Amino acid sequence: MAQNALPDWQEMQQQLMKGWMEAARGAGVGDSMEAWQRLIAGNNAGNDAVEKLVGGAKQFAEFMQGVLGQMGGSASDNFSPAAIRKAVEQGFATLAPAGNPVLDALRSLNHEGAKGFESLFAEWQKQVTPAKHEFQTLFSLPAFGYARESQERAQALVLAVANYQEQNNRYNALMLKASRLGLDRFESKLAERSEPGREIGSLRALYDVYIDAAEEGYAEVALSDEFREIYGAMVNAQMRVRQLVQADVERQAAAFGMPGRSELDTVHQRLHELRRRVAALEEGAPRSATAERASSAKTSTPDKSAATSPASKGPAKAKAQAKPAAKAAAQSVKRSK
Amino acid sequence: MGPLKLDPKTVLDEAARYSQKLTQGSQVLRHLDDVHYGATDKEAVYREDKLVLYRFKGDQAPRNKTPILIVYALVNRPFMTDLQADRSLVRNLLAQGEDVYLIDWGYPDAADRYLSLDDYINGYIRRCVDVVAGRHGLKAINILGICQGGAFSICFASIYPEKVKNLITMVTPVDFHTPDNMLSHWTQAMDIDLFVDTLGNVPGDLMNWCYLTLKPFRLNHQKYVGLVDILDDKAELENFLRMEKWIFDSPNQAGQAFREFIKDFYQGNKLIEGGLSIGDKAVNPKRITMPVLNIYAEQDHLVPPTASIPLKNIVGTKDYTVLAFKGGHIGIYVSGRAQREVAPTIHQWLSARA
Repeated sequence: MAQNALPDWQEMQQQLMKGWMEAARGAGVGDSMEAWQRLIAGNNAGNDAVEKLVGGAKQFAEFMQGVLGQMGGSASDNFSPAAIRKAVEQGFATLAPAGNPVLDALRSLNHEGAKGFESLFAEWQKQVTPAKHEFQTLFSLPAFGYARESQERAQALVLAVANYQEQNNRYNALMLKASRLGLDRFESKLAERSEPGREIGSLRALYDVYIDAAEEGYAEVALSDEFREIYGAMVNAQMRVRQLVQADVERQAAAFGMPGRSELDTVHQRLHELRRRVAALEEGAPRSATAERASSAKTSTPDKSAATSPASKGPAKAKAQAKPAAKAAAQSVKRSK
Repeated sequence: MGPLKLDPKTVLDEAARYSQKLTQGSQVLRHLDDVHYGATDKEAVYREDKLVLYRFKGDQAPRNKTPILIVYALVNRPFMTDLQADRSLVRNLLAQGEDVYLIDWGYPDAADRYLSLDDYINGYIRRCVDVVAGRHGLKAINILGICQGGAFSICFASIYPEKVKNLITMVTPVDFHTPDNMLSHWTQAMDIDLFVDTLGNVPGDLMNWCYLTLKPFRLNHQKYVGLVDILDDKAELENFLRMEKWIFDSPNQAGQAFREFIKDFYQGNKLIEGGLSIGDKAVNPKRITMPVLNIYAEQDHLVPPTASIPLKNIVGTKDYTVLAFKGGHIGIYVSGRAQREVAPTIHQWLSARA
């Protein structure tokens, strides 16, 4: 059977490649998908839905191509679970630069409109890197004299960055472990499907089994005590870097006479406390501001604009409404004295 | 025998069909209109800061005299309950004869950084409840709390039991320390003070990223591979895009409220362990003596059933009902089964306690 199947698979592989290549006018799978993206996008260029669609399609096409490419010379009946696992593993080693499907899955989230820890860090690192080079020579020297404080801050930043990189490396290593576990699960699931009547009959079904296995491997790691500790350490380390960078930016802004985050926070906090006190006073007012707001709110508005439009007016309106109530409450308090 | 039963011709056909779907989909995608959610007509009856309290308008006058106030989570937008005309908990409740109100929290910005759980629960929710009750001349109304909003509702009903006639909780976490709660697991070693002090408000994008990393392969890859299956179906594609729009429309989280919620609920598990206070008011769930309906989803990966089920053990009511819905955290609002089961169950349960 294997002898007979060999030419068929090779022919199929060639036809598949030909199809992809024709679609891409001579390019490989990845370029083929970009050709599709251009075709689909049309006047929707930059559309997030199109990017996700093409991203998903590209991944599946690469999966198909990777598996078939690795198995091109054998008959499907003879593919053992270990051989299929190896094919997927090798396929991913080519497709994902790090050869780590979990890390690849997590990284690819960053261009989905979400901004993960990793992408945030990459942005800050652009700011930090020049400083890092500049301060590395000072790193081991004791701080003293007129520039002592700035040198200490620079050293703290370098240390924080180094710590974050260390925690990030630990996290990446754990993700590699999750990848391996996922492939172990994949092989086990394939073994289960070797029973007559339970075989996998399509590449899509094979892909779905792979996804199930990958999620199980990831979940096992993500629910471990080790992950909890490393994840927390990574997040905390990144927050320390970010906090130090913020402080530095604020100092630079202050030099140009610009208000910084701390100043705004102080104002917001004081305003918040003031509003809470006014609200408490309103509770005792004869006709509360709440009732006034309820009676004047009957205007229908569309969804997002409904939520954002009053937002801009909210504080001013609340302030205006709070005035008479607060005044009445204050008078009431005054009278009771 | 091996696990694969692949025939070269069928594999080639599969690849060809996939290509064909993508190509056909290009035409459909070009002619799609922008999608919106929030299908049911509504009027704003109260505004405060960024909050808007809506009352939904049904095709018929409400038959149940006690209205329902939906208290949604601060994460994501509350219009999952009214995603589209044929997938709407709100519309189904209206059709059953219920009178439905909903709190839209809006989009907090930097000026809202210091909003605390005290502000949300003893402030906003209490005032919204008073407004709804006042409009109907009632002392108590029905509250339907969803997810984090369910946890808020439990706190509210504990502090102000006299204002709640019936309490309904949907996909609501109560025990945050169950072994299958991945989100909770991840927060345990985080320095939340450092986190909030650094970020101020917690960005919605960061929240989304965390949710996606709960199931990175399924939510970031498989879902979009599956999208190709419906690419030539305009209606299905619009449904998909509408859901995507909702998923990624995530407000930032007010820093102080986030800090308190993670520390007291996720890390401290105080609904179970006790010792929870909102502002200066102690939360004692044993004071929840009104009827309680707890609805959880059996395949919920965000709020596992084990996190929701223990509500029964902490409340003081003798009238406790539970509904185990066969679906997930989102399916409980948008699936076909949800349209058939959830609103009628709520209506029948409320009618028996009118």
